Amino acid sequence: MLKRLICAVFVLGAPLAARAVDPTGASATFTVTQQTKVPGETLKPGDYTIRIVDHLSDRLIVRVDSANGKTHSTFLGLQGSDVSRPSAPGAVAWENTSQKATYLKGFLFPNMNSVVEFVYPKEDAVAIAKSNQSKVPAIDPASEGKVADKGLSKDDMEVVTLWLLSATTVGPNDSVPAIKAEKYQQVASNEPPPQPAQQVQQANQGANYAAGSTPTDTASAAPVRAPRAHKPVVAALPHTASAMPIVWLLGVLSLFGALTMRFARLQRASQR
Amino acid sequence: MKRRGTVRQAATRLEWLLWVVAIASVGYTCLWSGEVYAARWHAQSIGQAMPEGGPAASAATAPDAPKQASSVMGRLEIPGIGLAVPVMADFDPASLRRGVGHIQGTALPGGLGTLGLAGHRDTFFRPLAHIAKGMDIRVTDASGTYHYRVDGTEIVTPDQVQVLDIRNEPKLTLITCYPFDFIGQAPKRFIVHANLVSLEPDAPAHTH
Repeated sequence: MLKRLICAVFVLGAPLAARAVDPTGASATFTVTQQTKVPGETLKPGDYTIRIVDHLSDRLIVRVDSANGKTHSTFLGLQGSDVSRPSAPGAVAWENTSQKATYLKGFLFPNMNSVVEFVYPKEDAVAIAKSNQSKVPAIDPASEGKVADKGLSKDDMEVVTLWLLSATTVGPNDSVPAIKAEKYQQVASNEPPPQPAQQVQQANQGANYAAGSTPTDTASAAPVRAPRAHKPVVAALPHTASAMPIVWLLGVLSLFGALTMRFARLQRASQR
Repeated sequence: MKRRGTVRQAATRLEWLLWVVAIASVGYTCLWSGEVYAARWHAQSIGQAMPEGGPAASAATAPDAPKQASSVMGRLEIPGIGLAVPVMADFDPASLRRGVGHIQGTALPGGLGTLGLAGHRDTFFRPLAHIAKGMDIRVTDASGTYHYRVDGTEIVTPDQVQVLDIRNEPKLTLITCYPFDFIGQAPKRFIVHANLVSLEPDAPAHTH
């Protein structure tokens, strides 16, 4: 399948030596020969460009564009994952996935030591994890209050929590198949750590990773950014006392009072 | 003589006022019960598959569910303490009158993150006083029924919002006021922590 899937990989862009240090700007083209899924998009057979448009300390932001300009998908990737390195640069597919389309597991860029592993939305990641023994990187933006109708914004991509999903068993005698999730903890990358003098100037990065943006050069120093911390979803825990007990108490007391007064009035009337 | 007549008139007015308050209280209770009933009915239809051969086997909600209960997003069940309650999409006062409220910005049922649900201690969440570690909590939404296992409870102050933080694994946090029998604005919050058993929901139950 892999042989059919990936026909060619070409290196584009700036000096290769710099790419080994800092992944931003790494770029390649590839061809798919059957329907293939990447996070957020199903690629039809054709030629595509893939590139890393930004990176934080624990994640990469990857963009795939079709040669005809009709398909664009921007999603997250992990560097230094434990995906075994293929013999040649190119796309790596998940095994045992749906018959309708192949899920791409990641991409090995030329001059990079490790595969950039793709991070899938939860539903796709669960489907992949059910048929594979590996851990599947996943995000669930909807569960962090991030609406993603048109894909995640740059800010959301930098803050969304990364998870790893894997198949397990639960229940009596561990007989029930299940999918468990654990928060992604960054592991030591196989890539050499970026040197300050070689880090990417990211100030000119387009906020929306627009098509055709130029890969950045490795000239000036900029610290590798850490993902931003989550803000609390509420300022204080909600107050949860109902008005119903007071309504009931008021009702019972009023009823009791009204009955007492009526009874007293009737008593007085009967005494006369 | 005139003074006695005035007192009698005032007493009659007071009696009428008490009758009105008592009847209003009963009316409000009936209205509330109707709202809760509608929300429960709507919640019960969520997560049910359509009858076999129906238009969509995975349909989330019965099409004839009442429209006024449209903010119902699912239901919460804890069989161990006999709790079954609608889950509303928000936790504003109107929603909390009809069920327990989803704290917006927290995870969805079965989602990657911490699902936060808040409920009144003196109505729906009163049974939480008897919850115990290891109990099964079922949260049902349009995608199916997710199981959570009670991990523990704690009592916190209202400013300890970190109980809703995203942890190393998907969680459920139930929040209600504490002490349970406090009259007025209770000073603390009772928290139930539970772990998600599986990201994959139970298959929807078929209706026949």
